[in-house]
Amino acid sequence: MNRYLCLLLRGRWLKICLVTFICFNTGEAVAEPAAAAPASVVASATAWRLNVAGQYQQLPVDELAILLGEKAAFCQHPRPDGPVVAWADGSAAPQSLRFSNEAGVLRWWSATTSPQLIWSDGEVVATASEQLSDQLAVITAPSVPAAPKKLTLVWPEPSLQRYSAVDLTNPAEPKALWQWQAPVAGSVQTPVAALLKTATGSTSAVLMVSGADAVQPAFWLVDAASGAQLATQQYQRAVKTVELPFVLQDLMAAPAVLDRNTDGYIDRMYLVDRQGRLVQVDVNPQLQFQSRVVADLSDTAAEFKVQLVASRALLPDDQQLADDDVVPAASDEQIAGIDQAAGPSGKPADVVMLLSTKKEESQLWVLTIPDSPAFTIQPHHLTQRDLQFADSGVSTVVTATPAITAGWYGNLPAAPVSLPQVFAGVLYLPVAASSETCTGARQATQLIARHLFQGTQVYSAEQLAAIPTPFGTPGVLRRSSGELALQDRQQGTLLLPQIRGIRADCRFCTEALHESQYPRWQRMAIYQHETEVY
Amino acid sequence: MKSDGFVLILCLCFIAMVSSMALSALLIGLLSQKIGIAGQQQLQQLKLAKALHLQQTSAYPQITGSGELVMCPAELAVWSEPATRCRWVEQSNQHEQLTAWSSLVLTTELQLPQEAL
Repeated sequence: MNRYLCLLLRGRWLKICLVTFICFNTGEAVAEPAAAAPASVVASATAWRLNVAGQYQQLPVDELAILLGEKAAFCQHPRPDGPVVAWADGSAAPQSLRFSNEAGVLRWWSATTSPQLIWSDGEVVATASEQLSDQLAVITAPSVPAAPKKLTLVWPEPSLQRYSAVDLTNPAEPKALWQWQAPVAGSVQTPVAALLKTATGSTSAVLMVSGADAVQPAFWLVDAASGAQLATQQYQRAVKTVELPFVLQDLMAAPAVLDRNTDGYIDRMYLVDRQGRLVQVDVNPQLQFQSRVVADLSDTAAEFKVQLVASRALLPDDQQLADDDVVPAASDEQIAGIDQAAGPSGKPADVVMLLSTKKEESQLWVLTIPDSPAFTIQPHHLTQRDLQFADSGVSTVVTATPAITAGWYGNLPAAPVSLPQVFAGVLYLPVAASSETCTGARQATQLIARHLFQGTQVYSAEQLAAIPTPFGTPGVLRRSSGELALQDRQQGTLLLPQIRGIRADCRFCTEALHESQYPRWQRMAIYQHETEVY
Repeated sequence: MKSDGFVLILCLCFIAMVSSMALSALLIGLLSQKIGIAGQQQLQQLKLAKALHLQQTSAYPQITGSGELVMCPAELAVWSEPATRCRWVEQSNQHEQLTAWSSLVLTTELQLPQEAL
């Protein structure tokens, strides 16, 4: 008996020593923003776990080593492409605080701070249903300045089927704020931060959807400070009929929020159900919702589980387009200057990007939804693009279709490794043949770069083939020579030496972007001084 | 005798009336011409001032007001993350003897990380 006990104890200590040894030998590089991801979470990490009193309590290192060492599936690398927040305690210069959520364990670190871990239950770590999104919401107050005075994080804990919020205003002392469980049982999904304008002022809120296998598809707005439910909207789950052609199934994809009037508060949301029905939800200061299905892609039999990405766009008038598009500008470069015409003209529209899967193949959808849509977008309204192979010989003037259609879609050559991003009207989506999501986190082997409204090639096949692989999430960089370039945010390597963007005066044309084109001046109105002259 | 005097007075009245009418027509014509010339000059000045104002580029020195926007308004070249910062600027021209024109201008600046040397 004693012999077995000794062996067991020896085994446990051996495990701790082994894990600690591995971690110390691999845990040197911690978190320069452009550097590789931290190698170890145990060696220099601090871990916090929720105690029975509802507060976060620091874990001893050996307990942390046991907890994480026993979980082979636990991702030792924090997600490198998570959100970054400039944080300062007032005494020092702001530093970049990075956040990651893998399997319900929240992590943050900076160039000077080793990884900190927070979770509620160390025994079970469940994988999130959707890997591409951040799986956390960062709420800062005030939202605009570089160093927020208050920093709150909300993240889903799949093992407990609930959302947790932590106050990280002082990252050294995380304070548990609240835990929230949806009244309708379903899976937890990525929460989305939303600053709302309400009758009583502004409110920081978190938007959650009901997830898989919920009794009713629904979404909730929860107060980020208190965890109190502010508003909810539930949809009837029923069979598709002629009378009710648009009934919603599971809402698994995290929603996208938009600020239509640019006042800093969200006033529109987009939801998509598992089968591809896109719902536009307008919200007013009384937190009343007006929902309508603006697209129905359910005929494609694809699954929509990935977070939506949405942006506002100002599409040129058809008349203006007809004039502009006939005569493309002779020069590739356009000198920055003030527009002679008073006031911009165009049709405001929402651009919604969706990712779906069908038979282990991924699809990218880009929908252009005007403010007053005349019809519900169906797959046959969209232009199909071949994203599998790159055409060679791309000119600055893209071959034009007669008008901006409702959007475009195409099958991706491999699985996406992050959400699509748009820089100057060009969509970038990194994809990889391997579906590995943890080790070597989200390294792409191919970059999809397409005109946002047309879905056509912007770069030549040679330019895209020259991108060094593998690479992480792309971002735009201002080069010392003035060109705007595309770089790998994690490794800092240059992906494209000069990026292209849609030209403001021609929807089908793109131009190479240079620093000298900014700042851009656009005359919005011209008027006389009536008081001083007359 | 009496009738001759009456006719004379009538003739004088008629002559006075006709001449006053002619004079007033002349005066009105003169005045309208002057008003027309003045209006034309004013219109030309207005056009000149507007043309001068429109010719001004982003380096126009007379900025009378500015303010930062919470976020940039929508545009054709969409950015899905906040890479741009927008301000509105009010510009005026204050040329001597010219009508003043003002413009409300939206300026868009890039906020991107700089390449490390």
